[in-house]
Amino acid sequence: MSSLTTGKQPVAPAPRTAAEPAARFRDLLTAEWVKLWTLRSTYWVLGLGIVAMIGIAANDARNDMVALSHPNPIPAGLPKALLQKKSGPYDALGPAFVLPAYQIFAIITGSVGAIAVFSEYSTGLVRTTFSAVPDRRATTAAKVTVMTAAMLAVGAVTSTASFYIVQAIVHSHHVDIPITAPGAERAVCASTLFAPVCALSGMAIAALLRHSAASVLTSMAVLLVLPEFFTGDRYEWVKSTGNAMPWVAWTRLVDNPAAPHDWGKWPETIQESWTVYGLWFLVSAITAVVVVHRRDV
Amino acid sequence: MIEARELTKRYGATTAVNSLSFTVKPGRVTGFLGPNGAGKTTTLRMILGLNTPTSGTVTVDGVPFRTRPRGLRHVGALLDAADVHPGRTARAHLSALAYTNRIAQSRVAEVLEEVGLSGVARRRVGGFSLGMKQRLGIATALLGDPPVLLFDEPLNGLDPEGVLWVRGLFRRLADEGRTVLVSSHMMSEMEHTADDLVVIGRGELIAAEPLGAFAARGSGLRVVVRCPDLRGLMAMLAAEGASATPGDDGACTVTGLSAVRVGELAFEHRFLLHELTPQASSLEAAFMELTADSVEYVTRESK
Repeated sequence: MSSLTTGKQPVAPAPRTAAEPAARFRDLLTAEWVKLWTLRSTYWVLGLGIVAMIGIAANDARNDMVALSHPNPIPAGLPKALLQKKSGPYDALGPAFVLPAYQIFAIITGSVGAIAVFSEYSTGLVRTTFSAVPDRRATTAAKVTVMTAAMLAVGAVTSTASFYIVQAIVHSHHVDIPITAPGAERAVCASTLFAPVCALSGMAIAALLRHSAASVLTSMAVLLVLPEFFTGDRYEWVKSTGNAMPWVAWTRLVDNPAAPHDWGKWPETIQESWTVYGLWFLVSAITAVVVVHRRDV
Repeated sequence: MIEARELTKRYGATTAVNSLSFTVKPGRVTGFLGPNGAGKTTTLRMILGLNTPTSGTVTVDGVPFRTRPRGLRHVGALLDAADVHPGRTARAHLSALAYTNRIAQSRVAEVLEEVGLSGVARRRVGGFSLGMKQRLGIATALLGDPPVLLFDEPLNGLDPEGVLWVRGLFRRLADEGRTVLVSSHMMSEMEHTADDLVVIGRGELIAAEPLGAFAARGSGLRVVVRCPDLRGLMAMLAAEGASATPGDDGACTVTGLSAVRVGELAFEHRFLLHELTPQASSLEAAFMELTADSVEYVTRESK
């Protein structure tokens, strides 16, 4: 009798754990890529950013050509600043890599990097993300890699298009230069790499601050305001600190050897400028990975 | 199987969770109960490795969750329905998660179907109601078909049909041999759902036992008595050490004595009884009573 009843005891079936495929970094890259491009804001911000950058460059080149077509006196309605451009040989790199445009570029790319990190925290998505992938370092590394790839593409499109459109415009006065001209390729490369350097700085700052407005403002301050404090030729350490900023390195790298800028005392060398890029990129990437790994979410 | 040993989490001077030890068994639905601020969410986050314990350990199937490279096939979790990016569609959200764990993309449509969100899969989550977000969170938890599932307040925002569905889902998951831990601050939510209870208050363990055992802990023995000479009976019972409170319908509720003993005493003292009903203490009463000392945010009325 008892043997009959024992068979009726409810026994919970053992949980089936499906054979788990090996974890691959590639999967995290795919996921981060999907996450980046399934947000409409990504298209808007980057699309408008690229269009604005190229537009500014084209407009600058066009203004230069108007100025070249009108020797002194400058006709009314044209900015006085154009006067300065007329001394010395024409700088055909200048309009393609104009400072205000790249200040905007630094703000856009730095913010995109910051948003990619703080939006995870501000929405709470980060808890879902790290519940799915407890290996936070791999996730952050994947995010850094995807951001770098996307920003390289954005930087390459912006700088290459700016260069060629500017040359096409200034061709009307036969002052255009080929990409093989001294400093031209370097300027295009430096402007391409400037995007991931700024974006990674934004990511590291957002990982540290984890607050939306604070991250964006701090990114702008670090990328653009901070270099302004470390200028002048009075103290070498001040100038050297300024030279260690990506913004200063970028201005140095896009300088046209045919129409060189006066860099004052203790100028940064080309080699040093590339090193600054590399260090900012590495330090930012490591900061983001380490900080995200260590903190509670 | 979830095992917490001496789990402690401090934030500065505040102790959110203090030396908490409990085991959550597979094949059962375990209710994780406590008043607001008791440390339930902190504990769940420590189980998932999102927060690092100040001391102590917690393992899922014998392994600290954070040491796993990928998690969805081991633990499915719904911590907060809002833990999604409002700008992504439900499908995009699940799709990215599926990629991270090498889960087939076809599984995304399956779980969306299961939680009833197929029709809104391509809509952005920002426009979802709380109930829809809860369903999306449940879909996320089910994505990896995991043996352990955690749900933090999953019934918030669900309509009655949704509540029934979720209860059925928990039962089914447990019957399939999975470990199901469901947190709530409402005992009534657990009454028809949980097999076991882990009850905490102010970060400390109050009880970890089957639902029935917990219900029996309440002060228990309560007997309703009806008698023509209610005043005399109450005086007699008070003299015997019981406390009797008169009700408004000519009955009184006696605590501190069993129904048998009340009957014996009435017989000895020649009281005529019209009713003698033992009342099982409700889970809610047991919960309120046991957590009364550990409620973090007391309203003025209940002070």
